Amino acid sequence: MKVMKYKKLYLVVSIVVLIPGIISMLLFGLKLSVDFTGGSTFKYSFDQDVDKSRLISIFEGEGVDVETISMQNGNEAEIRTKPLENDVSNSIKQQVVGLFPGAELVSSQTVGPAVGKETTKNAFIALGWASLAILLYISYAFRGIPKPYSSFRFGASAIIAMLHDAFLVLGIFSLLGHYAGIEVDALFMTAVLTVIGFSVHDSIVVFDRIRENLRKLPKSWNFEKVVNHSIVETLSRSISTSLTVIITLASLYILGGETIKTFVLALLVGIISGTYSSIFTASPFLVLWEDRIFLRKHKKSK
Amino acid sequence: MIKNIYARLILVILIFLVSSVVLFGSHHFSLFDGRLNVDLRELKRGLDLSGGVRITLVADVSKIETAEEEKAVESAKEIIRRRIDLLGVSEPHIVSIKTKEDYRIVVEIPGVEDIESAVALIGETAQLRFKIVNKEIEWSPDKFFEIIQDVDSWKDTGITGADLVGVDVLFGQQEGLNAGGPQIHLKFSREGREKFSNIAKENIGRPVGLFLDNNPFPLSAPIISEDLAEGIISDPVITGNFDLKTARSLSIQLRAGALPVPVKVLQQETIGATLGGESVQKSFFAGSTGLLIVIIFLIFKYGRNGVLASLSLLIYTVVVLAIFKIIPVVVTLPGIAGFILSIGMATDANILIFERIKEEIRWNKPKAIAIDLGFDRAWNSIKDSNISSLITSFILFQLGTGPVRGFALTLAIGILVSLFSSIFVVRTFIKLVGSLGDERA
Repeated sequence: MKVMKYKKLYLVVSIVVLIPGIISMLLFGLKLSVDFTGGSTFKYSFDQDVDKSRLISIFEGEGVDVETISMQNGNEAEIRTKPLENDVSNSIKQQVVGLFPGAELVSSQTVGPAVGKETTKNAFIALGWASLAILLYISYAFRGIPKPYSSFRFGASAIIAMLHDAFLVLGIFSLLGHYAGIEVDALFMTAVLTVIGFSVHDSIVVFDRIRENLRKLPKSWNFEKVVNHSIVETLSRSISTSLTVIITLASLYILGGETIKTFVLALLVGIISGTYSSIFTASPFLVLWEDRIFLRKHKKSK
Repeated sequence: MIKNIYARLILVILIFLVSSVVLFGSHHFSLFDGRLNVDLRELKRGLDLSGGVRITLVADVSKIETAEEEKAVESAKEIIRRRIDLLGVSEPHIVSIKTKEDYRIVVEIPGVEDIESAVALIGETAQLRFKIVNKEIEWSPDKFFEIIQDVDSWKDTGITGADLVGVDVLFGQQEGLNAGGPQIHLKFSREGREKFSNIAKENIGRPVGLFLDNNPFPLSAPIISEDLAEGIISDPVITGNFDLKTARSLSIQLRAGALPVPVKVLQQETIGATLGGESVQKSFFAGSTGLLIVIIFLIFKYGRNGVLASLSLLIYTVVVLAIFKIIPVVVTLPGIAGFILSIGMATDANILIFERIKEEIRWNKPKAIAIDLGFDRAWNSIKDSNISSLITSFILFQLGTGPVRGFALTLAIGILVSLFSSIFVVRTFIKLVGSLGDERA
């Protein structure tokens, strides 16, 4: 199997797959939940069918703009507003119960915008530190590879693949947010960070085999051939592992609770992308990079 | 590590048994004179699983010296804990968080749904001060309301809620505005009693004002009778036009003491238990189904080794849950997700090993040697990939908040245990089965 023959094509595919999501990110961004934006969310349940506009007028009567309102089954409403003071939301609650007897406030949540900014900031900080730490770790763990190959380039390629996976998940959820109204919450961040961990996990397994084969295989083999051989050797493992994880996540998605669906979906997209990228992004990138360095040195020595 | 196969097996069995006792037992005991409390009655469940309220408070430390800030916030945390304990609800989970800008206290109370009264209870400072009417002011019962409502007529005595040892809510029989209504009875400490008597003796027939926090008007202003001054009636009583709920909440605040720093509610959430409960059951069922399919897959693909790996996954699950119980880890939905993902990583380690063994056999190594080589050579990949995942979970734990931390913690514990189960345990099993002389497979 000559997997690496089409290395440039894989990189093009990786980039092309990213493009719609990135455009969507630039145009629409992510549909952020209250975790990020700050605001109040109220969930009411009713024992009767309720007219949306009457509910909205209660809020407007208190001088509160309703940002979104979504009805489920006609007897459950989720209303989102700017952050509200306690007495305002209490007064609204009394009016709702007054107007619709049997109404119940299932949950109410008010997040100060400060939390939102900080949460987002923390996520980016975490992403930065994680990339740096993993880059350092791979550079250290792979320090023994034979010259002229560099452990830093292995680390950097793993990070490239990782960023590919992270941005793919972000992009897809930007599209899902715009077209399907799926919101991302603080849990989603956890998912993206997990995807990062998994992505690197997968790349390392492939790279580890490349490292081993660089020592073991005949010196006459060029780098691309070694990488190709390593990928083929680890293919069975890559597929098996991804399958077990995907099975678990799929059963969580299909059978699991509503609260974790977005989270699991993000993981599912990320894990699939992670397996793909370890073979079709990290490795081709590494081969092209090492080849370039090799060619440059070769020219110099001539 | 340990060479002797039977010593290894005994160790594995021992760890499994201890973990099972921890997981399935319901022990509750203290060691070292109560310094170490071991509570194994149940897995601690987070709010998203049990339902309840979460309140995030910001502590205003602007009036506190920088060096004392942390101490003040910690003691505020303790006082909030005492207030909730006095309310008698289930164990609250309270953490203080220092952010760059401010100090936060996050209070989670499982099983409580009335968020307003919870906020009122924990969010207010309750400093009781005793004041007397200035000596220069001529006291006459006719001018009662005029005097007590004038801020200038009161003088602080230095007696505060700190001089009290007890606060009780009783129903009074006195006549007046709130006859038969709830009253708050104050019990002084010995020094407090002395201080109060000294002042009371000079003020017989005059009112003593009980002031709460910075409220300019007294909560209650009983007239000091001779009996009260001489200690015949032992303690003063706060009467007022309040209902039982207010009286009780007030008495809890007085008893628990004042918050050393003012706090402001930043965020409050009510989390429905039914939502959590349903979600948990579903997710638990989903996780078990996923695990079952993974086991079938492993057995299908790797035969006897797959069976042994599945057995070790079982041990793995029991050990991890036992560790959750001991630490204790508050189990949340993201936590369960982290746990299930770590099962995936544990399985990956075994797949790496089994694939490697297959490869070594393909390269014409004798089977026994191929097994050893498989474990040894797969170790590099397992080590590097798991360390990178541990690094990620460490960073998540450090920089994340709330549920994200829970996820990172369960993932990290899961990864560490998976190294034990997928390498030590599986290797022991495979060697054991091999040494029993079964050479067919």
